[in-house]
Amino acid sequence: MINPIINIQELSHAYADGTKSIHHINLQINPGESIAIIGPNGAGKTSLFLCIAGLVSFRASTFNISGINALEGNNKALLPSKAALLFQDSDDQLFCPTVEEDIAFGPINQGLSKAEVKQRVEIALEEVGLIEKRNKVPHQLSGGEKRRVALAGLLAMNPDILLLDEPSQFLDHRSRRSLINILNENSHTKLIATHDFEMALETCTRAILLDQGKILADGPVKTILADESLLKNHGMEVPYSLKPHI
Amino acid sequence: MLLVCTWPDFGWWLPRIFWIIAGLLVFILPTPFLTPGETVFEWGILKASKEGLDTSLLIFSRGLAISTLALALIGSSTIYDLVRGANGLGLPSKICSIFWLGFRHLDLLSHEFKRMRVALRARGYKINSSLGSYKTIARLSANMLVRALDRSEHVGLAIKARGFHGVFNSLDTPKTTWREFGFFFAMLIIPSSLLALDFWLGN
Repeated sequence: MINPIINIQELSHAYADGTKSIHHINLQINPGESIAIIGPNGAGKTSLFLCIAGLVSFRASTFNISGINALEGNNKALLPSKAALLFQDSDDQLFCPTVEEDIAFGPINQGLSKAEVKQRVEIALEEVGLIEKRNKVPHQLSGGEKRRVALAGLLAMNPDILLLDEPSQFLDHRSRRSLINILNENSHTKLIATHDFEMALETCTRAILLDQGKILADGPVKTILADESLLKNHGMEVPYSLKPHI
Repeated sequence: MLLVCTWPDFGWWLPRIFWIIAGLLVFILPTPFLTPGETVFEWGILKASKEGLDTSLLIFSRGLAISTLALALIGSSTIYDLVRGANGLGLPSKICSIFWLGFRHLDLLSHEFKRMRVALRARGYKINSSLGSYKTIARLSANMLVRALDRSEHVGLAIKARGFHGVFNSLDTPKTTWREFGFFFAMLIIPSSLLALDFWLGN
């Protein structure tokens, strides 16, 4: 039997003003799975990611991420190295003066030697195809390149899980395609929060429908995304490629 | 020194020097006429004194020296290098981090401001001195502040997500080059020579 890389029971999260964003979620994910997290705006997708990355306070009866029990001692601080989060807006994530420095930021904070950091940066740059942009200023890059630099910053941390929050948002067709190819070539466990169902179909095998902080459906991505009444009830539509064509 | 530091990009410092001199003129021009002393020339009812001219020359040369030194420093380094240099000279890491993130944040805010300005223009807004116009500017400023707060929260989370624990480290360690050594010795030799010359001429 495979040990799940994410095992969460009874997870709840509320904002500072008391508004609940996640209600008693149970989630089990196996290593190497690629899962689409779908749901309308405000469903709790980003909050779920922030919890898994250990960046906000939460309540849970079980919270094991990649072998770490986050409920014990100060273990929550170890979560960012295990589950790396790609933010919706790349400008939030890129703050160093060069692409290379930005990608190195995470590994340096992990306490790696400079030689190891440089090696990781090299591999990450190669993986996202941005070797020639290494000395550029990140905030002067195009939207697609920024997204790839942000992704390289996560890959360089060598996490077990990638949490991708709306990765295809604001991308043009070419950048989106390039991102899909990178994701498909990558063997990490991936959770992808997205409204881009066509991308979900190409990159994920399983889908989880989240609404009002609760998991309402969990199953094969094609089954969930083809369920017209389920999607309609939660303000979404079946993607074009799954609609019956005459 | 400014020439050496900014070579061959003169276009960068020439307009800046122009504005610095223009700024200094505000102090230089009235000083000879406002300082009492031996009259050198008269212009209508205004009398320029020798002491005033000396003071003007002193203000001009000192002002220009300080400004060109600052320009040489800024023109030859990126903000990030300056922050790292300051950190290396003992400025606390927290202050350096605040300075760098603040600078990055200003860049983002200026982009947001430009976007909002375009959005206002697209809806027919024209700035004027009416109460409605001031209200719009106030709303825009408030909106910018809220967005800034929102963004700073996101940036804070993004930094935490990448294991940040208070100290900005860098990938490359700065190494002293022959240019720094040259600059150091030039700075040592030139003022000492000037002092020696002054002493010799004085005697």
